[in-house]
Amino acid sequence: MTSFVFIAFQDTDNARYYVDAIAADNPHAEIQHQPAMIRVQAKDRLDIRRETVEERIGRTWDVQEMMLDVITLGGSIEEEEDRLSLCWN
Amino acid sequence: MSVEIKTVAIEPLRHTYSHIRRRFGDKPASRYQEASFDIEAQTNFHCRPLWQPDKELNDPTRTAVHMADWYKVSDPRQYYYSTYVQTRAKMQENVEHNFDFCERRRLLDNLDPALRQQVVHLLIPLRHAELGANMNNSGITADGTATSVTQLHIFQSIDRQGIAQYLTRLGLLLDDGGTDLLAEAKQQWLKNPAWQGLRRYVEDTLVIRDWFELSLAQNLVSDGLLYPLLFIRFDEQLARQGGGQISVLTEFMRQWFIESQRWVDAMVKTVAAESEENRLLLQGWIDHWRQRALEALAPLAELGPGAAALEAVSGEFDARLKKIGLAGVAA
Repeated sequence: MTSFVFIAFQDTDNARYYVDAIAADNPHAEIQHQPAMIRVQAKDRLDIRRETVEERIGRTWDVQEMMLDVITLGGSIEEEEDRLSLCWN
Repeated sequence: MSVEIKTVAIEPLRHTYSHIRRRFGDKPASRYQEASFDIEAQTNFHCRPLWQPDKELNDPTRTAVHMADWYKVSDPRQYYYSTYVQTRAKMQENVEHNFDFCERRRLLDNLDPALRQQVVHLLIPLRHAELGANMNNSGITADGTATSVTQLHIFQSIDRQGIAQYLTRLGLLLDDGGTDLLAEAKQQWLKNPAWQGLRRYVEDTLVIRDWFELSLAQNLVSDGLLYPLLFIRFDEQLARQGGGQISVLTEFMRQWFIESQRWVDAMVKTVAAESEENRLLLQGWIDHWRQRALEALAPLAELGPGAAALEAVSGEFDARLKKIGLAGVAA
């Protein structure tokens, strides 16, 4: 059975940078634009890297800042200083 | 009876303004893009400026540098009015807190008189240089082309006024609210031979006509050598000798310098990469002003962190130039 992890953001200015960064780091991710929400879904694993987001957003960025724009997520979370990963163990 | 709740997705007819769509495509644009690109008028001017009738307003020929599109230069920090103001407000809060702390704990009272003297002779007079930097950057804003470029410079200009004010407050605090130290520092700036090189540099840059040359002379070369020398090396020296409380009050300058280097490097890199002519032109200006800045800073280095520190700073500056595609020491 295929298992998917996902994360959904409010469709805000910040979230567009995040989604852009996630798409760059996870070529296998599928991005679904829904009303007022952007949902990113991927098979098995999704990585959100601080470095990639910082490049796009143009300032230092704390991974936890992302939570302000997150609506929901699915998968086990591995959180580190410069990375947040979703996967199924 | 069952109620079925459905959502209907309504696709917007257009995602952004037409001028932004033409540049970036029809997709949701960032606020920075909307506030910075293709804003200023480029055609259909009614009158030529009375003060320069051979040119139009926003004329790209006020610099010898040629860019097919000046909007290629953009801000890596993506500052437009509100992000800029928010960031600076946050930094300002920290500075206020630090000044308040030093005042409340009377931290400057115990400063060694020799160190206090050094601060008055080496840091406070810089407020006059900062005012020069303020005027230079606001002049560039007036003459420059493309909003993404001029907005960088007006923010820079306002930052410099802020830094001048912080230095003034440091002078006031050292003098328990009196203005004698500020007057003394001004005499240093006007009379002390060690300062005359830098004063001359500042005054000569005030009358550079080519705005891009001016930006290099001010924001790349002068800042790129002066800040590491006086706000980093000299600060380390103060801290070693027991004047660490001064560091608390000049931290803004270091943070600001690290931050502002990013846009300066991005701008110079983009312009130098546009064409070989640009690169040679930039290199010539940088070689010229770099030499002048080093000569101007040499006597100040002697007063404070020493000639070796200036040499180290100059080496770091060379490395920085290489990173942005230019040569370090003049060939």
